[in-house]
Amino acid sequence: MLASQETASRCGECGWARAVEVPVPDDRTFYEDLIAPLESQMIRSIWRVVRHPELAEDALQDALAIIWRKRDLIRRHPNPRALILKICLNAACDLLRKRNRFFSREIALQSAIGQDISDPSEIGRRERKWLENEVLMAIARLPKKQAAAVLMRLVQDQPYDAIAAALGCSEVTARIQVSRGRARLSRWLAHLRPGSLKEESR
Amino acid sequence: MKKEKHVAVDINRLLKDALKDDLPIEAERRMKMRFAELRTKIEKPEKGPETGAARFWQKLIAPEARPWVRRIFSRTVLAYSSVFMLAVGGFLQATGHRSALAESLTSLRTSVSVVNNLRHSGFMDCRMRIPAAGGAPSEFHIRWLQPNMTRVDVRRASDVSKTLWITHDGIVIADYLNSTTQKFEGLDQAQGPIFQPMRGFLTPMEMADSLDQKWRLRGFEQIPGTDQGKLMFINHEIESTLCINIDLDTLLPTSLVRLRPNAIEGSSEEVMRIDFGWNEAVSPSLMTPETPRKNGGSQKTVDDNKKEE
Repeated sequence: MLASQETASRCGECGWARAVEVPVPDDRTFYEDLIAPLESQMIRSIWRVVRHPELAEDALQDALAIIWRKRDLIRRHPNPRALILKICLNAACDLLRKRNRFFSREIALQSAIGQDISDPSEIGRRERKWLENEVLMAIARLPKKQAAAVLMRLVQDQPYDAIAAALGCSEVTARIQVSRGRARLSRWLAHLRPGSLKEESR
Repeated sequence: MKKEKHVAVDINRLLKDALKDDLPIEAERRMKMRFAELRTKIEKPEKGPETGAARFWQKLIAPEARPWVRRIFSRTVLAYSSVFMLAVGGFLQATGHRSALAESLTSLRTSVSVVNNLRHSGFMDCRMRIPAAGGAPSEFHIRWLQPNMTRVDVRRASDVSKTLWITHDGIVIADYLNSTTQKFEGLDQAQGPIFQPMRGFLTPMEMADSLDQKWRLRGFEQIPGTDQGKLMFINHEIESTLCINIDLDTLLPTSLVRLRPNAIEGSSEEVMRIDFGWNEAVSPSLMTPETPRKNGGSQKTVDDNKKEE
């Protein structure tokens, strides 16, 4: 099903902008072709960054709103799937930053302490929660582009050319963004790594 | 170079371990519902009611009406009409005429902003007082710490009698007077009049939903000489009026008072009063239950245990 859309183009003779009828896929086709095949990947990408059911739902809602608003741009993009996944990761990171503004590390730790301490299985769960929290706070501290690049590479296992297309930069720049982001994370999360690596970082 | 590669591999492993793909079924179901909603909206776009304005608009965009429409919306006409409307607007403003439509729109926008602010608030702190007929009023100190965690201290005669921990896993109630602890899976299982006031206030989101569903906006007014506004809601089912005072800078509620019908705020007709404190600093002792002094209670907090060690 095709619909027509007016696109501005330059008239060769007079130089004025004129409207040209260009056939473009309609909304249903956009959904079926681009969003439906990525549904599971979008859900999992957001979950792996946000790790909270309600926040993940909010992040997905934000991402879908952005995707829908920019659907014409996404249609024309050289790698629309990578761009959609990047929008999802950006929405998740934005929510993570907002959450961190409200909750300091202490509150997150104390909220864990406030639960049932007598249950031994709670201790492992709490340690895991703490590790997750440290990593998420470090990711939220990264600049937006670096965070997107690192997460696309490490969480979504995207190739560098797809990351470059989604970020709108060259492949070399994408590699640099991933490398710098990874270096920063390894510096900030040095206390979570084994002792040998702590010595190396000195 | 080798060291750098080692570090990179290690951070990859750390990130993959911390951010592993362990999506819970419930979260997946909720997120899939968002996709389903979007799909429904694409397939069946919402149509507005067939009002007179809609019919008029359809006539305007009909092909036979287009030459007239072009004439009406020509730049010159639009320029003159905008100048005219500005002049009329200025005149009305100067003469002090108040538009009922503009006022209701403003109040609606403010109420929507308040509900949105409640929905997105990270954590907040409030005190709720419920006057008792002839006795000491019940006081609740509610702290919403994150979307799924709420702590409620129930006070009677200035002492904490109970503390409730409400998480998505269930509810734990510490009763200091009887020195007992109870665990429930949901608030529905926790029977008793003391739990009734908490319904609708478990999380800011539920509070916003309760406002959305049960209360109808009656009006909005700015308190003269202050940066405070007052939103009035009415609930016809329980014949009650709700008055929310708002800070107009932040559009966040400062207090919420429930009144009996036709009562005045500040009078003894208040059924309930909630004073909000937004994003105050949280003390480290927040997460440990307060020890009641009334019984000379000897319960120890986590901090006390640490000191002894």
